[in-house]
Formats: sequence, structure tokens, C-alpha cells
Amino acid sequence: MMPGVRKDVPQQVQSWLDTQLFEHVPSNIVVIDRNYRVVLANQQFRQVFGEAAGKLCHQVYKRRDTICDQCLAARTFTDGQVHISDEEGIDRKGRAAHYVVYTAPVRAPGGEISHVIEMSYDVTETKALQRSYNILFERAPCYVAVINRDLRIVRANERLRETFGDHVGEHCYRVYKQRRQRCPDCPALKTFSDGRPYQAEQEGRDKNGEPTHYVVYTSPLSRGGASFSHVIEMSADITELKRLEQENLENERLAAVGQTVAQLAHGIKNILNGLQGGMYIIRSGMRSGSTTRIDRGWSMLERNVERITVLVKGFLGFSKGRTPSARLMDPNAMALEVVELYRGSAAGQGVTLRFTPCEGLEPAAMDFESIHTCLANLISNAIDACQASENPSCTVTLDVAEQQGAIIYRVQDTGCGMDYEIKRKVFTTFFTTKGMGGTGLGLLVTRKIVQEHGGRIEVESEPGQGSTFRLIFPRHRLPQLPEGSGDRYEVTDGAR
Amino acid sequence: MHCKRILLVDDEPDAIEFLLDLLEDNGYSVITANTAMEGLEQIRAQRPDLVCLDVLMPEESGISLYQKLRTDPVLHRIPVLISSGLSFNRELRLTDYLTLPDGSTIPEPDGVVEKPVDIRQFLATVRRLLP
Repeated sequence: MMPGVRKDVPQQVQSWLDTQLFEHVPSNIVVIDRNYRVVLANQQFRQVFGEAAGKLCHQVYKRRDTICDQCLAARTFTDGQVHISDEEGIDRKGRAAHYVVYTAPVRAPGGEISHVIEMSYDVTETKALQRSYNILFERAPCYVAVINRDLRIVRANERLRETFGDHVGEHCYRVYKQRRQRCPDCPALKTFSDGRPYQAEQEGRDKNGEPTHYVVYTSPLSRGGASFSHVIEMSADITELKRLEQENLENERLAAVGQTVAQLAHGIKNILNGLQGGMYIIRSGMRSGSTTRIDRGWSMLERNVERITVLVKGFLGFSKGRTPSARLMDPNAMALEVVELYRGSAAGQGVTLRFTPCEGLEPAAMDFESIHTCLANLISNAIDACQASENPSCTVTLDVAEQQGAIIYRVQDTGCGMDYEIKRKVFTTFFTTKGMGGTGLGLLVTRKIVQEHGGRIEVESEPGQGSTFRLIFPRHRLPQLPEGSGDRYEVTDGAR
Repeated sequence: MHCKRILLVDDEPDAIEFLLDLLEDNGYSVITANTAMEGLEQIRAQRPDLVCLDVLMPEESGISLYQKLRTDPVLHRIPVLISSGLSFNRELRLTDYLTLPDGSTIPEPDGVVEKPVDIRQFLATVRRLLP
């Protein structure tokens, strides 16, 4: 009886085990002698590799003429131990096949190893599957990394290694960002803490120290069970996108400068026209000896000199402070402050001023003074539009909202509205429709400030119906907070 | 001799005062309007021989008034001189003001004079339009 076989095994099973096991076991088994010649091969082996008895094992397995470099049987002959290895062979039809091979010693009665028994089973399909997974992992057109709880990268794909260097085993924050400490708001740590997927936009440094932008998605890596020991990170490189976005912002700024120059020219041309008129009237008064006319011309000159003085002062104000000095602000408090500022004058002009804040709005990085100026300009324009309207009970409304990651200020009036041409020109030309009462700078300044905050302005208006201006600030385009000011949060309370 | 009547439409009092003096000194009869709406009323009531029109005005622009004139079966023959601080070649053309919302087009204005007004050029244009 074979050792390890239970005594209550039925006779016919025992008999099969004794006589048929070797021949019919569903694995390839051969016995080879010290010359590496096959002395015995079972049925499955013969089916896969053909008749083998008497042939050299490396000829049978791999169609080699010489012994394999890392011969497993040779190791067992040497040390008498069981060895396991992955091997690639060629079957009798000439196809490449992958095997896991076990070798064990066969000892003669004296104890010396006379033969080695080799058992192998086919893992070709498993290998093919593994290779597909590997290709998928390696060739994925994004960065893929597997990270352990210590935040060390245990596996990184080709693209990640190419961009950030081959640093498997190192901390992810060191590889991605050349940092010495964990990153704040690390999405992998969040996934480790609650097992949920996270995403975050990050800026790293590639192996050459160049800035790299990417969006990282993290997910727990488990084998179906509840517990997991690793997190998989997939990151899409958005460096080019970021560069284009930056370039776009720059272009918008440059375009704004170009438009500003044209608009300034237009403003000055109107004043020059007034100066020209004043000169004409004085000269013609002098020719005709009319002091009344000379006085009229003189007044016109004075008025237009005054206009150009106001314009230049306004323009200096416009050009100063080009870089927004951002601090964390409560967008509602800022709007309320402007509303309070205008409540009195609106009431004095018979205009109802309404304010609707946005509940639960997170603070935002903005330049308080600048945004205050924008909202004040819009509210003041809206009140003027009400004054110019025939509607006796006009309303100006300021709403704050957040939609799709953007803070939106909406200033709506039921005043005189604008026609198509004025609407088109309202931001592209340095002009005023308020005659001597305006410099034409208000909306220009507003647009400039909004653009500096990465935002945009939208306007809707119908003559006689009123106008709606929207200042839209996507949070991800807002200015960066200055270094070290991340935790400061400016409270505005109207007493400013 | 019947003197030609010119309507000045401009929201800037100084621009009105200047051109009013200049035109009256040169023998024209001048009427004025401070808004496009008032301008249209004056045109209907007074039938001027020439309309001198500013572009950017509150509520309704000079362009809108120009489009109304050119599409009016009665008033479309009145010559129009546009006088604006906008540059004619660059800014005014960009607005595509000769194309109406329904896609149809209207003719160019009879004259264009940029502000600040060059007196000689302005008078020469007026004389050309009112021979």
C-alpha cells in the first residue's frame, strides 16, 4: 500500500491507484535518469510531447540539443530537494506552451538519487491571460500605479516609469512630486480610510523636474473581499490641457489690453471733439466779436478738459493693481456689503434693491476690493438704467449662486435695457451712454477684474425690459492664494 | 432761397453745440435731438434734408435708427451722415450693421465722418450730400 493512503479506501480504488495512477493522472509525468534520458512517460505526457522514452528530456521538452541552462532536474540530482519552476516548452505539434514544472528525487534502496521524477501542468492559457493583463497595465495610455498602505509604489506601468522614472518601492509622493512628506488631501489615503474611489487634480514634477499636471483616480484593490491592502491609482496627464488653458487666459488678457487701447482711443476722440468744438466756437466768436460766443466756447473747453482729467484719473485707477491679491472670502458677505452701500441711494431714486444670498456657499479666493468694485459698478449701472426707464417702480436684484463649480453673481434690473448695438459694444468699446455723466470705464474695469479672476461676464438685455449681467467665476480658475495664506479666511461684515 | 435743413442726433450736448454752430455759420438750418427716438420723431415731423447721426447713445443706438430709416418706405431716401468716435473701417464695420436680423441688407450710409470732426472734411461731406 502506498504511504499516506487511508485504510478504508475501497479495494478497486486502491488497485487503480497502485496500477493506473501514473499512467492516467491528469498531468504530464516523466522519470529521467542521471543522463537526462526519459525512462518512463505517462499517457498525457506522450499525448502532448509524443513518444519520449529513451530521448533526452531537453530534446523532448524544448527540442534543444544541450541541457537547459537552469535545469531543474540537475538541481534535484544535486541537492535532493523538490524544485518548482516556470518553463516554456514546445509540444509535439511545434506550439509554444507554458508549464509549471515540479521535480522530486527518486532514491535507490541505498538512498542515492538514481532518477528524478518531473511533473508538469499546462499554464499556457493562464499565461496568455496574464500577458493580456500585463499589456493592459503596461500600455495603458495613462499613469497606473499600485500603492500599498505605506504609500509605496509596488507596481508602476510603462508610461509612469517613462515620465517619473523607475522608482518602484519608493513613496508615491516622492515619485510624483519629489516631496518628502505625504501630500495634503491625498486621494489614495482617503481611499485607504473608507474604501471609496476618489479623484483629484494634482501638479507633480516629472523625472526632469518639469511641472506635470494630472487628474488622479484612486480605487481600492481587493480580490472581491471587504478588506484590501493596496490602492490602484490611474492618472490622466492634463499638462497640455493646462498649458492651453493658461495660453487661452493669456490670450484673453492680451485681447483685453488691445481692446482697452481701442476703447481708450474712442473715449479720447469724443473729448477731442468737444475741445475741437470749443476752439471753433471761440474762434468764430472772436471773428464776429461775440463775447457770448467766446464765453460759450470757453465753457466747452473747460468742460472737456475736466472730462479728460476725470478720464485719465479713472484710467490710472484701472491700470493699477493688475495682479489680484486673493484672500479667502465669503462671496455672500461681499455682495451684501455692496447692497448695503447702495440701499440708501436706490431708495432715494425710487428703486427697490433686493438681495438673495446662496445658502452654504464655501469661501472663495478672490480680491475683495476688485470684486467689490465689479458688483458696485453693476449695481450702480442697474440703478441708472432704472432712472432712464419710463417704468415708475423698477427693481434691482443681486443674487449669489453656485452652479457646476462656479460662483455666479447675477445683477438684474427692470430698467431701460439695451438694444442690440449697445449690447454688442458694451464690453468691447470704451464708451458711455450716459453723456457727460460717465467715463465708460465701469464695465471695462468690471470685465478686466472678472478676467483676472479667470471668470467671464454674460449679459442679456431687451430695450424697455431691463438687463441681466452675470459674473461667472469657475472655482478652479480663481487666483491662487499667496503662499502661507491657505488657512486665513477673511471675514467681511459690512464694517469694512 | 430755401435753406437746407439738417437734423443732428447726438446724446453729447457739446457735440450738438459744436455742429449746430458750424452748420448754422455755413448757412444751414439745424434741428437737434438727444436720443434716437426723439430723432425719429423729428424726422417724421420735420422731414430734414440730411440726418447727421451719432452711433452710441443710451437706450437706442444710432445704428438702430439708421436701420429704421433705411427700411422705412417713406423716409429711406433721406441722406444720412454718420458721425462717431468709432473708427469706421475697424469698429463700425465689425458690427455688421448693414445686415438686418432677417438677413436682408441695407446700403451704406451716404457719408461717414469720424470724431473728432475735421471741420473741412465735415463741411465738404455735407456739401456733397446737399448740393
